[in-house]
Amino acid sequence: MRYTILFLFIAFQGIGQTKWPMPVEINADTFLFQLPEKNLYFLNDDQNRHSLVEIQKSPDFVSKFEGKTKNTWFKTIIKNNTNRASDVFLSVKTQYGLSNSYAILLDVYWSYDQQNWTHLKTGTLRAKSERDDYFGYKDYFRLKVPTLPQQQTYIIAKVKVPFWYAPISSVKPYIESKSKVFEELFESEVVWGSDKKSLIHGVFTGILLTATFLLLIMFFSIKRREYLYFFFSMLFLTLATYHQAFGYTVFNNHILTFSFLYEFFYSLFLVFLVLFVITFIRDGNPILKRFILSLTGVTVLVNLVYTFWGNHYNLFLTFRFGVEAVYFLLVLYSYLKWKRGSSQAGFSLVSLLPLFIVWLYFLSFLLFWPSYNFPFQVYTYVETLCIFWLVIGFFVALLSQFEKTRKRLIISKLDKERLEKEKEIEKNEILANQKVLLEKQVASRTQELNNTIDSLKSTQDQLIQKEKLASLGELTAGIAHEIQNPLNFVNNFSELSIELIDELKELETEKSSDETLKTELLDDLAENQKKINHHGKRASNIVKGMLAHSRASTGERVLTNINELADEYLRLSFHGMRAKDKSFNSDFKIEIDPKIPEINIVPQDIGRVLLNLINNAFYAVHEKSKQGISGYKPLVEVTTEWENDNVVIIIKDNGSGISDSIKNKIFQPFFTTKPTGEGTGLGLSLSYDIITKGHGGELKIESVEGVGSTFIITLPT
Amino acid sequence: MKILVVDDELDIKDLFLQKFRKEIRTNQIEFNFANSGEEALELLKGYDPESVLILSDINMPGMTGIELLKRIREKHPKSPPQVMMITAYGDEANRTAALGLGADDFLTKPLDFNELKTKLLQ
Repeated sequence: MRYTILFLFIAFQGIGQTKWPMPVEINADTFLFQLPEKNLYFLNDDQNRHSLVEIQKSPDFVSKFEGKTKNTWFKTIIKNNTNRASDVFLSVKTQYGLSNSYAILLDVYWSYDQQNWTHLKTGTLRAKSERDDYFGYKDYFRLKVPTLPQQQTYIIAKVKVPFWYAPISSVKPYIESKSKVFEELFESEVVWGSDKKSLIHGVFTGILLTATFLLLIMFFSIKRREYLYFFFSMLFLTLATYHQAFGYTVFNNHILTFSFLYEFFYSLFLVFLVLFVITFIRDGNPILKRFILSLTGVTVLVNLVYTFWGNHYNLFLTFRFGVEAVYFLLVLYSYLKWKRGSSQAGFSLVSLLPLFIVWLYFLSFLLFWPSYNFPFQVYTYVETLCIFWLVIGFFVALLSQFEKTRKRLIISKLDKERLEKEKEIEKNEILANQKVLLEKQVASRTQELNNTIDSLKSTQDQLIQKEKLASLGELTAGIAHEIQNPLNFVNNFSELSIELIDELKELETEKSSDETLKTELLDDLAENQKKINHHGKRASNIVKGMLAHSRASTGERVLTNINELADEYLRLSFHGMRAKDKSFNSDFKIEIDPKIPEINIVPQDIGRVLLNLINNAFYAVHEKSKQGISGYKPLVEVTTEWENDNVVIIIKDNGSGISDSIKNKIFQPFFTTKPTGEGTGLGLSLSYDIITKGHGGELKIESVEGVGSTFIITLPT
Repeated sequence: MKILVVDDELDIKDLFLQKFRKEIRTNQIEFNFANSGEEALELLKGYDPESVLILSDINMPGMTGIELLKRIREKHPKSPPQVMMITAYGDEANRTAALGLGADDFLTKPLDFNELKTKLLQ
């Protein structure tokens, strides 16, 4: 039995909590009152986790608001006892942090039967477009709930603040009749004349904004910080003073969110005004300056606290007092500087003073005659005028300063340009001087280089001469031999001829008629004369060749028999080598093409080339024979060919050959493989020049190291 | 008597034939000519070394007179055959080399044919 009672008690509790509070009864057409607590049930839902359905079923509703939450639900029933359907307007006043305000975010669900629910939304932070309206009016705190005669309307509402807000500490729902709502609306729109206000605000806003942007233009023109500061201070003053006009124009949908910031704009105005005055009056009292800045910081902090944490009259007063204190200090700051003869400070004092006096007047009333019926309406106008005076005063000061500064800037710019021009002229002069100096240096260098070239040329000439002499030296021994031989023959055959003549004479005297002998002797005699002639010519050719070789080339082209030239130089070279080195020996062959016509060449030059190439060939075979290879027979072959109207002279040896690594170097001047002192290194390079440049021919080389080399001269006719 | 003249100058043949015309006619001397050392060695193969006198120039392309002498003396270390060397200029180096290698005589160009004749007819 005890258990049954306990069970029933628990069940009753559960059912009891889902129950509704006693209905609010409406008996008249006109009403406005706060809903009494007995007609309300509350449920704190801090995390905003519950849906409407869960809330409907929730057994956790309690009869008293427990406070300190960011999200709470309440439910109530309105019973219309009259005989007419009527609209009830629900609003919720809340306290959060230090502020009292209508619900920031309000959601209302109403229903006649607890089955079909209608959802309505409003709140000061709700965008206009999200708010539900009545008669086309988007109220930010009232919602319209219709009631039927003699019937109950169920209401579930949710009151919420954003997470950055202080938690809600009280919830007070109100209901009012349509007639009451109309009364209030009429009063605020018509009696307070918001249309008239808008016009005045609009004009002032326009003037202020124009001046503000003029300041910005001036700042960009002369780049002085005080213009930027004053621009910002005026911008925020305009926004703060005329936030409504501005907000309705620009942020209509979020007008209440925007209004919420306007106190903050005041702070920013103050900050920039302070910065401006301090910059405008240069080098004021440094201690005072630091104090003003600190106080400004504290004041702004207070403002931030009550803007975001919640409004409270005391905090607001602290802020206002801070603002006024900062302002008074600014006046003091200007005054001190003005006494020391600063015209800027004078301007500042004149601009600041009227508002200073008006505020002082207001404060004295507030402090000493609090009961006096202060004329707030007049005061507001005077204050506005003073603010305008301040703005205009500073604006005029800045404008005149702007003119001066601009002139100064123009002058300094001109000065700068002049200086730059002077600098440029100076630079040009320096450049010109340097140019002259450089030219001199270049000239002297050129002279030096020319001298060097001249000396190089003469050295080159000397080297060429030396090369000629060197090859001539190589020649002399050969020449001696070559001349000696024909001379011997000349002598021998002439002697023989004398003897023959003697014999013939004897035969004549003997009268013997050995005619055969006589004929034989005569034939021999004739033959001998030919031989004498031949060998005499041979000797004379050699001498001519030698002379030609030693003489500087005339460069004159002469019709020359290449075959003879080749033969002559082959022999000269061989005997020269032989004379120079007793151990030297080599076989040589010449194979001529008799079809070759006489061609136009410079014989000394081509002779030099032949001598050079043949000497090299003998040198190569000699070097190889020194290696003592058994069965090696040194051989130099000279071949001439007539090929496509070109004369080809081939000098081939079976000597040591030329390695690939130096093949492309051998025609370079001063390149030699011979031991120091043996070669000038100019032979092949000169030969190459003579053949290619001098005669338009070709000099090619084919060589295999260790097998031999072949030089091929091709001369065009 | 057979005489082999070795010289690269072809006209030497005419010279000798004319100079020794009488001796040739009377068959006192029989002349043979070679243009190079190699040719001389070839010809010598068919000769009786006892009855040959070799008269060689030193300065020749290919095989020199000195080399020829050397080759001959390799086969016949002593005369016969007699070998007489001729050179264009009487330098000591060649003379010493020739005599050292077993030359019987050393003549210089230009040849004194009367002297040569006397020597040959001895």
